[in-house]
Amino acid sequence: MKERALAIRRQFDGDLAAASGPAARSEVRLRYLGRRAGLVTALLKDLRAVPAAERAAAGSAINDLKAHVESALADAEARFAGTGAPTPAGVDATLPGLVWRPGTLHPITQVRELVEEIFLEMGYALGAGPEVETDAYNFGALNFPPDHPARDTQDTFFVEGNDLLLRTHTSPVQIHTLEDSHPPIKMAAIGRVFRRDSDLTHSPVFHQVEGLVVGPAITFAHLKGTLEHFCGRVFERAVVVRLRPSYFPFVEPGAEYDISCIFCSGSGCRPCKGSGFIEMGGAGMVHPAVFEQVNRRLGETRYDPENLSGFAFGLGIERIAMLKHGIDDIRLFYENDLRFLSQFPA
Amino acid sequence: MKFGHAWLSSYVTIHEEPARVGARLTDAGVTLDGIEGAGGTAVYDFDIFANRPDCMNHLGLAREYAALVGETLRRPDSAVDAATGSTGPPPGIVIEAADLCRRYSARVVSGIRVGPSPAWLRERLESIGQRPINNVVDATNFVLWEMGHPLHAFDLDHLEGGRIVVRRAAAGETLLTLDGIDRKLLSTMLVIADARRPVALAGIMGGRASEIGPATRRVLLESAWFDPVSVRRTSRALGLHTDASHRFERGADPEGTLAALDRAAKIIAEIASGRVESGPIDLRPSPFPKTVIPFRPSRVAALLGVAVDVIVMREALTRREFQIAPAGSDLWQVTVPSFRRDVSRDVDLIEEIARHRGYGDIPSLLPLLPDDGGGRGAGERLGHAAREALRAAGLSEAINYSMVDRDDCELFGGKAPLALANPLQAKAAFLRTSLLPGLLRNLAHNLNRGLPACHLFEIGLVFHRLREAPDERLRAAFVLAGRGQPFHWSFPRREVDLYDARGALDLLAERIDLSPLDLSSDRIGFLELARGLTIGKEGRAIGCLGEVARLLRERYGIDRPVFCAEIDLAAAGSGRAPGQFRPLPRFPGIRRDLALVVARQVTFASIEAVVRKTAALPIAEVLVFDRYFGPGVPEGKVSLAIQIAFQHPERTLSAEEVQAVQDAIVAALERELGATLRAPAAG
Repeated sequence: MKERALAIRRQFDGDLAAASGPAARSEVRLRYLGRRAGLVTALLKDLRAVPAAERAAAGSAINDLKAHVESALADAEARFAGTGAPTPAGVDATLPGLVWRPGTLHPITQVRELVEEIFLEMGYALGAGPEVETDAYNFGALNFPPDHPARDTQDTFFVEGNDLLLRTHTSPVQIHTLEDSHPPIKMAAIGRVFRRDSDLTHSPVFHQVEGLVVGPAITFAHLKGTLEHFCGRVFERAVVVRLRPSYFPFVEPGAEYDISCIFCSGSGCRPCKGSGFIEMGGAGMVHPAVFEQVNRRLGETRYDPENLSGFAFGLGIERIAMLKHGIDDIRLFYENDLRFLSQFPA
Repeated sequence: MKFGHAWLSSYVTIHEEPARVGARLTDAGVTLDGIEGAGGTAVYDFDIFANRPDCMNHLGLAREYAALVGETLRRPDSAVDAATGSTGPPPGIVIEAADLCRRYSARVVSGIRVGPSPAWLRERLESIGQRPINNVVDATNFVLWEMGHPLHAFDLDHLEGGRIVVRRAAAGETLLTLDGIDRKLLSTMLVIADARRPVALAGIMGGRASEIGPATRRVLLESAWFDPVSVRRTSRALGLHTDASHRFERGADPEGTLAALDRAAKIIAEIASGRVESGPIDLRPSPFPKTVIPFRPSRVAALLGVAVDVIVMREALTRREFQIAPAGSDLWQVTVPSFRRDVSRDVDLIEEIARHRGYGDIPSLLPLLPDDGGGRGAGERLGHAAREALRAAGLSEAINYSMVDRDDCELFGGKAPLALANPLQAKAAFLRTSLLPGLLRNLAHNLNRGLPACHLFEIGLVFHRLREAPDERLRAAFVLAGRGQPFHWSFPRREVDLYDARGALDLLAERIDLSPLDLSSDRIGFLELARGLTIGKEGRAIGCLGEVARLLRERYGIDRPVFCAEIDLAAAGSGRAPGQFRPLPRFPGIRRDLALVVARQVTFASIEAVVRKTAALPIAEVLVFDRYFGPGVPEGKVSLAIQIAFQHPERTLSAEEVQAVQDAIVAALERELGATLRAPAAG
């Protein structure tokens, strides 16, 4: 038996050396390891006929042979895999093919389109508003009283001219939407916003998503459910939303919301600073004063806080992109280095 | 804002670890930023929102904590052991600006000895990062951090006439404030003056002239209520932000002046061996009415989407010193405590209740609203179409800041740019009037880093001042430099040229329904002479195409040719209308190639026009498949190989009739454009 095994081994080594391509190799595999007619397989079948005393030694010889055949075949596959040795015809298929390579969309645009898609699926209309805003839309209509310290947190760029500024948030789009539509409203707006601030995590230009839902009997619970659905879709995993009381003049009750950490699912890791949660943005129930001010400007009670309510929320597009792609410096988004941009093909 | 654990424990019994205290308050809307130290020496750093000045002191924060855990609040002792007599005439206090000072309470403490504070007081202040100064100043500072009301101590003997006048500053008046700066005052600023001159900036900072010093014997303590907007405007105008102004501009407690005044007077009497004189003096030209809110408990569940026990509602409010008077079925009259100036209507009370019980168990629901399917607006569709076209043309998207240098506006013909009043840097003080400067900077950035090719586009708003109003326009722009596509070993290496830019623009034009392009040669300041084209639509210029002027690109640090285009998307089109189906040709067409030699200035457009005009058979398309000049072609001429596709909708064309038409075309080209055939091409 041992001798037979040795002979087959020699024969196999010769056959394998002569096999010059994947097809020839798979033929060799079939010849030796094939279930029905494989030479090694046949040896194993014959083992039954070997006297019990010699069976252990014979079995181990056959097993050695089988291991040798398998590993030699695997080595050969690995050696030739991917190298696509030139064929006699002179075509080197390892040379790069001819590609008209399309450009890439900026990662901010990619997140923007994802966010748009999610809201469109949920039946939201996409809203928009000017980037050079008036004080009235950016602050007044959003219930920031004139000369109120709450304005300090907004680091506003002022534009020379009549009460003009660069919008500090997408929330003025809420007001444009309320003025230009009728309830019920489901609106999402994505756009550029500006803050007088610049460091690793703050850029003087960045992008926000704004959501606004107004209708009869809209509650805080709808806000939470919407945030959970939205954040889950953005990060492609189920998330838990945690609301914390906060203060934004245009919502009451106001909240900041966190999601269960998308990296550790809540057990604590470096990105979530061990808390299990990641800060996302601000939210709350539309302040009745916002509705009342819109009514006053419209000269009609289009939004009666007695009969309808609404919620609003916001978050940063860059923040989503940074979390999704592990980017740690917000300024990279605005350098437009192709070595950065090309990392996000789409 | 810093708070000591031990200090808080003076007003409420705390059984929990500092970390738990911090988490509990965070869940109730007072956000913990961090904790230093442990146990009794722990110091909290809380981020307190602008609407909660009542929490910006230890007693106030203790009240919030006590409400959350159900402990009782222990108020500090404010009982003053006031003397019956006084050592001199009581100070005369007049409020002239009653609109900006709605309460002024004062006391005199006499016979004091100014010196260092006792250890307990110094330690309290130092624990939260405050620097002890002397016993009188420290006492007022302590009361600010204890009870939240900012106080000021004047050396009464340095107040001329022993008088206090609360008034607006007179034009030209100045005040040397405690920080040693001589400040010019405006007539809108509220000051505390003596008989002659301002001695303090009301609610912000005192003056040097009446500062408490070693020789001070009689102190006038001020505890007032100043108008938040006035304090804020003055503080901002002077660039002077203090612990006092921080609280006044957020709204101090108008009913809290006396307790704070007495507390400070009591402490000063104790630690500076002084005597509290009879008083207090308390002027209230216009007291605040109590805020009473009609409140329907049923609204809580209606807004929060979760049922809340009435007992919990009562607890949330009464523990925070709101008073509840039932006024009918589902109606309470809730009186708001004077220190809660942020609470004015029912939703504020709902938030109090929601904060008290925590936001944790709010269920997650999705709103069920009828909707009209929403969708994208015209602007979004246009931007989307343009983005996809340029990406397909091999360009990568850039996103640049909107703020640029003035030169960036002027060099690219931007008239009337919008300027920022408070730019972050002088080089970014205007809003962009063109997308090209940003893209050129990106180009320089990439080429300087050794990238062999840079093909970038941007879609975004540019800004102009139009009849004094801001005008925002959505534009698309791109720049191309370096290696061209395709980059492949089977192709000769080539650099981008004007036709790469033209091709990208063609693709864009097709996607936004602007095809065929209306291009005309033009002199455009920032483009190379004779390599600049204007894109027109209905007689209006809506963009440009060309090679960036060499001097200009060198300014941006670019050492090789750059081809670019910019187009006003909104003016260009409204996105593609749904195409109408045309039946497929049922009969085979015939293609004929012609190799023409024409003068260099004869354009392809003029050749195509002659071909189409002359042909007596329908033409599907006219293509160029080669362009050549050099050896073999006479000087000043160019060889142009074109292909004409004849296609009849109703029949198969015969070779003879096509040949006849072809001959007519050749004759017409020769007659009208001086074109000759280079060599007969195979049909």
